[in-house]
Amino acid sequence: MTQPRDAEFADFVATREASLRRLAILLCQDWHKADDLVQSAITKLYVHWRKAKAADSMDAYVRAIVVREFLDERRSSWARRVTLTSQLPDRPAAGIDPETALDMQAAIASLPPRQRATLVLRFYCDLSVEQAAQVLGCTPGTVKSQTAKALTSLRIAFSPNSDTTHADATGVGSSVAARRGGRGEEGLNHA
Amino acid sequence: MPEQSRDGVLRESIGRAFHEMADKEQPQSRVSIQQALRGGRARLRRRRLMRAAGVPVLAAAAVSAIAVGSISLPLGSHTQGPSTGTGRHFSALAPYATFGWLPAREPAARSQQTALAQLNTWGTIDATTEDLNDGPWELTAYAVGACHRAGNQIDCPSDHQGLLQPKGPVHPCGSNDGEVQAPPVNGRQAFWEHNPDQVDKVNDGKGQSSVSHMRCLTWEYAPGGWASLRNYVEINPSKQLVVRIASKIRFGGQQPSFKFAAQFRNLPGKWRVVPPANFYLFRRVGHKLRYMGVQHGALLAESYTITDGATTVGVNVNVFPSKRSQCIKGTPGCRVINGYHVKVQKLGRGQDGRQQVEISAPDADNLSVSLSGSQQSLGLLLRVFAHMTMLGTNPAAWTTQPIATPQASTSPPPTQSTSSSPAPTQSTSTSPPPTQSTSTSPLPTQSTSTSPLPTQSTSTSPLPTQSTSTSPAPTPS
Repeated sequence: MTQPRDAEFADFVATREASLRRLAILLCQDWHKADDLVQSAITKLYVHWRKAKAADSMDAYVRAIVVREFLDERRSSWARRVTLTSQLPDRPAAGIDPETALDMQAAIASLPPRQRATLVLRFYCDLSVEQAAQVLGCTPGTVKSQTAKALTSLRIAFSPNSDTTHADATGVGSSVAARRGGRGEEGLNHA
Repeated sequence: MPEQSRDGVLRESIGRAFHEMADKEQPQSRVSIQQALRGGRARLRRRRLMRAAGVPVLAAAAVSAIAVGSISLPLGSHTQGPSTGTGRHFSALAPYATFGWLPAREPAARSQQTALAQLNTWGTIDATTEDLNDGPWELTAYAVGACHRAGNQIDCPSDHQGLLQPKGPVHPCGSNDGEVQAPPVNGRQAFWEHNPDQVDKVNDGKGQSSVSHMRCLTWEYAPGGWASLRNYVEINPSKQLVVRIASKIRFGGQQPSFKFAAQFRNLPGKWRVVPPANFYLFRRVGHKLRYMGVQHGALLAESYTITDGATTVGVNVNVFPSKRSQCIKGTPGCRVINGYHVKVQKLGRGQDGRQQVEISAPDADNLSVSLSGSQQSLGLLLRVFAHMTMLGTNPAAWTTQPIATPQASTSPPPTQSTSSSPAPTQSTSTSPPPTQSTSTSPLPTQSTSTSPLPTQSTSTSPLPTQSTSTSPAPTPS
């Protein structure tokens, strides 16, 4: 009974793997994490294969799995959930060093995961607010506010007159503005 | 420029940036459809089992387990009872428990990619694959004194984060109802979680069907020390089999040491590896388990913590067959410390709310080591990193002493910085990271073994023979 299911699943994943990895790299900003994410997502897809096949769009269904898996992992990453001692330091969120962020890609990478996922869905997957909300499992209002926050962060980051104190908690504004202000190449040296 | 127009430009730039990123050439994929099939099947099977056993899936999956058993590292015959070397805290340098015997049909250690062979906690489970992460036996061991027996109930500490399990004590097998006396294990009291012969009628939606409870054995392996054993694949493995496996599990005493692929030499101050608390917990990354994994037959410590009493530094080690990362000279954020090309990057905020940073050396010949800690301790992290030597991907070169004492370390101290400056001077060295071990010492014999499993070994030298040398790798110039 599982043979046809397995074959269908394998065919589907084989044809979608590249696009799933593209989506995952935009979310994770790291190929190893991206591959781990795709691996988890397709495992989950197998478990929910019947439901996926019954969905209006299997691609949309898988995309939702990938995005939610990404957010779940971020939200409940091992380091946040489990510690060997109470002092174990946190493990990486996805990220490029904001101190060295000079371009849009680095600035996007510095956004919080949920904001980044929202931007990916809106501006890479070209989903409407409602569609993005469905994928993220939130209200359209939340998508709008997440998008607005992300855009504000990026706008501040790329504003030539930006004041670093206006940057939001993501640090995007401060880092890019600081770089534009000609501070040292290795910001972390001063930490 | 009007606000709306500026927004339009920004959105366009974002879209363009995304497409540029997505259209970059993809590195070789590590995604495995076969692994997804195995993992998916196992998850479905586990779900069915849990449903049949009447155990909520989440709770069952949340059993945070715990001790380390070594399928791939046969310990030889040991007829003695549990070691008296049990303690209230597990060692950070050696596993606490090891499977001494498993049925021969269990999978063997062949996969390098598997993170943790010996235990199944979060891992996918499939007895039919050769992937050790799929082994079906789950052992959970609690330190002596961690659990308390009150009447018919055994309470053990739950995942203290309380996110995956309800807060408060839990039974080693997951629930606390209907314990039934089991044959003593090595002379100590033991219980089945449920009556193993009991069959319940349940409504499966198509009428009544019979289900048995999952067989899970809880026993006292040492006074005040409790463990549990279950099989996720077979709902009802033979009682004799479960008891036999349990009776051969070895606790405490002489265990194969964890292997460390990086060593800190001549660290100023008194540094030590932080031992786990009451029980071992494993990091789950996707479907993988981290903390320690089997690499070439050795128990590689993949994620651990060191401390000097004041500052705690997380150490993460990855050995993966992949292309080198892109941290090369001139790349923003990259620098050279102690001969290694490293990347310094900010992470998210830690549990204490403080900004975390990480120093990673991602391009050291398939061995990636990173140190992480709070940003305030970045200077210290950099100094600690300057004392680190990577030992390569050959387990023969790994060490059992992650922090070498000055006497044990035969290599000269790193030339770089024990100065008080927060960061080592950016080296202009163009020398590559040290060549990984060229040791000619053989790999552990276990690693190439294709024999299925540690059938009860009668070997007299059961422990792995990997080097315990403390300076197996060349010192970076």
